[in-house]
Amino acid sequence: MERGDPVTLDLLRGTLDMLVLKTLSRGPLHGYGIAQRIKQNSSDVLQVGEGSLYPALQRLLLQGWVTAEWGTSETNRRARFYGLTKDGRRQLARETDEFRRMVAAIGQVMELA
Amino acid sequence: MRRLWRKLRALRRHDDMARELDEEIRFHLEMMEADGAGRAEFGNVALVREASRESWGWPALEGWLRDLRLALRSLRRTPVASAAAVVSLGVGIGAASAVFSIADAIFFRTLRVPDADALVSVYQRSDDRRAMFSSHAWPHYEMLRDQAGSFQSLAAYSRIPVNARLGRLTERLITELVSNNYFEMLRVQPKVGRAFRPDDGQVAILGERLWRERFGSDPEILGRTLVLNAQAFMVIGVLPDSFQGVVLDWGKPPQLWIPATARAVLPALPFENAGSHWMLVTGRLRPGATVEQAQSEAEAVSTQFYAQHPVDGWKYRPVVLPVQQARFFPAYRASVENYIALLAAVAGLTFLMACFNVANLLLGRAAQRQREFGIQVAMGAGRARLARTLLLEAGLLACGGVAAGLVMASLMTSALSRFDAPFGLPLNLDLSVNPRVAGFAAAAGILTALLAGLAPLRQAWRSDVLGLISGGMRAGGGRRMRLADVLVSAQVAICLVALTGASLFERTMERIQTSDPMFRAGHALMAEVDLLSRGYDEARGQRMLNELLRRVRELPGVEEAAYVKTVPLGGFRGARDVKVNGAQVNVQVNTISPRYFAAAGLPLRQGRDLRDGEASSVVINEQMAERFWPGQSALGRVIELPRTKQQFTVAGVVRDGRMRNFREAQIAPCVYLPLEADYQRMITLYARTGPPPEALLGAVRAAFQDVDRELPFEAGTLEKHLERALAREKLAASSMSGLGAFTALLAAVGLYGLIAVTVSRRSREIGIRMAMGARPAGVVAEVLKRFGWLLAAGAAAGLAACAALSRFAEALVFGVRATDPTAFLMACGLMGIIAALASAAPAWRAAKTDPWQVLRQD
Repeated sequence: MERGDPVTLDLLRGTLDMLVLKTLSRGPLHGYGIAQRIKQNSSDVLQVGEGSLYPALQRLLLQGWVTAEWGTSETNRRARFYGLTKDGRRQLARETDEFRRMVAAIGQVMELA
Repeated sequence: MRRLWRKLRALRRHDDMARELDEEIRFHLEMMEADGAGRAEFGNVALVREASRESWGWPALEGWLRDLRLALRSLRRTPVASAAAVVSLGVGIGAASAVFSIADAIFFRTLRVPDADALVSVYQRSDDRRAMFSSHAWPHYEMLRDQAGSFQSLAAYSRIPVNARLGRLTERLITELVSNNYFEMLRVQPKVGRAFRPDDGQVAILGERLWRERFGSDPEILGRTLVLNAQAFMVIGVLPDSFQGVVLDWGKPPQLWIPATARAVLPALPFENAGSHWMLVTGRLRPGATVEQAQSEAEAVSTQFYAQHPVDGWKYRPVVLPVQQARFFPAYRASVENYIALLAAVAGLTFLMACFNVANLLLGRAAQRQREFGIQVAMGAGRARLARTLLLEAGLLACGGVAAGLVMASLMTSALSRFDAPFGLPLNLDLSVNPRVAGFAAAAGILTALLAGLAPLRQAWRSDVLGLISGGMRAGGGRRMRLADVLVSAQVAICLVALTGASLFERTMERIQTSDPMFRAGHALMAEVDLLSRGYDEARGQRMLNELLRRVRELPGVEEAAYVKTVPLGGFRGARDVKVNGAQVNVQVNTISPRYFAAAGLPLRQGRDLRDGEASSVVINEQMAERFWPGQSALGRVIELPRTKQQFTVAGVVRDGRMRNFREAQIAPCVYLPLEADYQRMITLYARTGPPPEALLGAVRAAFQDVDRELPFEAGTLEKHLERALAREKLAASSMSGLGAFTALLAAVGLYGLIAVTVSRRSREIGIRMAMGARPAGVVAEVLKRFGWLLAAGAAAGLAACAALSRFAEALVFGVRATDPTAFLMACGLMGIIAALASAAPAWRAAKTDPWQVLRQD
C-alpha cells in the first residue's frame, strides 16, 4: 500500500470503536495517546478527529467496554487513562471476527469484478 | 439494563462528568501544542464537548432542560419586565376566562334532564310594534294542554312568595307553583320521596338545599307538616340540587315546590282570570313532533282562546322555542347578550393588549440580543435551537400568565357575579371555575406563547451571522423594527378605544345622576310590606299599615316616612285607565300615603302633598298637568277611576322622575292615588333617615314584629336600590375605566420600551451627529419624529375602531352620543400625555449622549 495523503478518520462508528478497543488491548492509554497510536500504527494514514474520538470513548464507557481512571501522563500531567474491560475484550473479539469476514467478502467482490 | 443504569448514573453525575470531560479536552490540547500542532487543528472545542456529552443519554431531553434553564436565566435578567409581562398576561387571561365562564354559564349550560332536546317553551308575543313577550293565563294553559296534540305533556309553573313558619321565625321562601304534571313532564326524579300526582292536595317538595340547611337533612322528613301561609302542607319529597328550575333569570333558585291543586288554600292567585299572564309553559314534544307543528297548533288554540276571552288593545301570538333558548325570559335575552358582548369586547381587548405587550417585550429583548444570536449561530447553534429558546421564553411567560390568570379569573368571576343586576334580573348561575374554563385559559396561554414568541423568532430566523455580529448594534431603524412599530401602534389604538369608552361611560353615569331627582334624595330605607300572604281584609290591613307607619315615624333617626306602591327606577310601572275631562285615558298610576313627597324629597311645583286621612285628593306630575290642562292650573281638577267610579280632586303637582328606569324616552303622565282610597296588599314603606339607614334596620324590623309577629320583613337601602338601577352603566363604566387604565399603562410601557431600544441602537449615530455639531434638541426631535408618526397611525386606527364600535355603544350610553368627538379628543389628549411621559427618559438620555464615549465603544 502506498502512502497517500493522511485521511481524517471519520469512519463508521463501529469501525472507530473497534480501532479504539484494539489499540487499548495492548494496555491503558489516554485519549491523546489513543489518537497518536492509531495514527502511528496506520503509518499516518488514519487521523482520528477529536470530534469523533471523545464521543466514541464516552460511548464505550457507557457500554461498559472500557474503564477510565485518572493517572499521571508521561509529561507529569493529570490525564484520564482508558483500559479494556473483560466485556470490552469479548466485544473486540466479536468485532474482529466480523471485520475479517467483511474484509474477505469485500476482497472477493473486488477480485471478481 | 446495565446500560440504562449507567445512563441514569450519568444523568445524576452530569456535572462531575462534564468537568472530567473538560479537563480531558484541555489535556488533549496541551499535548497537541507540545507536539507543535496549533489549537486550530483541534477543531471546534465546543462541538467536541457537545458531541461527547450527547452520548451520555438523553440529548433531546437534556437539550430542552438546558434551554429551559437558559430561558429562565434570560427572563431573570430583566425581572421587572418579566414580572410585568406575567401580571399583564394574568389580567388578560383572567379577564377573558372570567367572561368566558359567565358566557358559558349563561349560554351553554344545558338543562340537565333526560332528553332535554324534546322540551319546548311556549310564550306569547304582543302583535304590535313593541312585540312584548308574555307568559300565559291559567285557562289558556289548560286549553293548550288539552288541545295541542304534538305535546306528550305540557306543564305550567310560576314563582310565588310563600311565608313559611320555620321554628320561631316566619320566612319568605322562594316557591314554584307548578302544574301537577311538572316533574313527570321534565322527567326529574326526587332524591327522596315522590313527585306530585294529579290527586295531590296540600303537599310540598323541598329543595335539597332547604332540606339540608333548615332540616339538617332529616331522613324522617317525609310526612312532616310545613306551615305555609298559615296552612298545613305535607312534605312528600326532596328534589336534588342538580335541578334548579327551568328558567335562570327568575331571581334566586326555588327552595320549595307546591302543586297547582293546592290553590284552594292559596288566596288571591288569579287562576280563573283569563287576562292575567302569570304562568310559564314548557312541554315535552311527542316523538316525531316538530317545533313547527307545536307552533301552528299553539296558534290555533290561541285564536280560539282569544275568541272566547276577548282583550282590548293588542293581540297576542304564541311563540314556541326550544327550552335551551328559553332559559331567559326572551325579552331579556337580548339585554344579557348585549352586556356579555360588551364584557367580551373588553376582555378581548385586554387579552390582545397583554399579548402585544409580551410580544413587544420579547421583541425588544431580541433586538438587543441580535449580536448574541449571531454569535450563537456562528458557534454552531442551529436556528431550530434558537427558535426553541425563544419559544420557551414565551412559553414560560405564558405559564406564569395562565397561573396568574386563573387566580384573577376566580376573583373577577365572583366580583362579576355580584354584579347581577345588569342582566335585567338577578341571575341564578353557577360560576365556579370549571375544567372548561381552565381549558380555555390554557388555550389562551398557548395562543399567547405562539403569538408573542413568533415575533422575535422571525427576526432571529432571518438573522445573517456576519451582519448580526458586526453591525447588529449599529443598524439604524431599518426594516427590522417594523413589527414592533405595528405592535405599538396597535396598542395606542386599543388604548384610545378604551379611553374613549371609559370617558363615554363615565359621562353617562354623571348625566344619569344629574338627570333624576332620585339621585339627590339622600339616605332612605325601603321595606316591603306584604299583607297578601297574611290574608287580611281591607279594614284590618289599613289599620295595620297605619299602625306600622306610626311606629316607624316615631323611631329616632327617621325624618319622614310614607308608603308608595311603585318605587321609582325599580324596573316596574303600572298603567291604568282614568277619566279626565270626560275622556278615558291610559296613564301611569301609583299609590301613596300622605307625606310621600316629603319623604322622597320630590319638590311640589304647585299645591300641596296629601294630608293624613285624606281619601279624595290626588297629586299628579307636571307631565300630566301639561298634557291635560296646558297653560292652566291643574289644582282642583277632577280625575275619576272608571272601574270604581271614585272621584278625586288634584291637590298638588309634583316634579317626579322616571318610573321604570332612566332610559325611558320621556317621563309619562302620572297620577298618585291616596292609599286610603286605593288599598294595596303589597306596598313599600319608604323612610328618609338622618343617619345611614343600615343603622335603623333593626329598629324597623322590631316595629314590623310588634305590629304582626308573622309579617315577613325584607328591606334595603335607597343607595342599594339606585345601585341596582344603575348597575349596567356602572358595570360598563367601571370595566371600561379599568380597561382604560390597564391599556394606558401597557401602551406607556410599550412606547417606552420601543423608544429606549431605538435610542440605544442609534446611540452611535447620535454621537456622530453631536460630534458634528448637532444640537441636542435637534437630535431629540429627529429621534422622536418617528414616534410621532406611530402615534398618528395608532390614533387613526383608534378613530376608525371607535367609529365602528359607536353603533354598538349607542344602546349603552345615556345623555351623550357615542360618536361624541369630545370623548375621542380627550382620549387623544390623555394618550399624548402618556406618550410624552413614556418618551421623556429615553429622550433625555439621547440628549445627554456623550459623543466621545459612544464613538469609543466598539
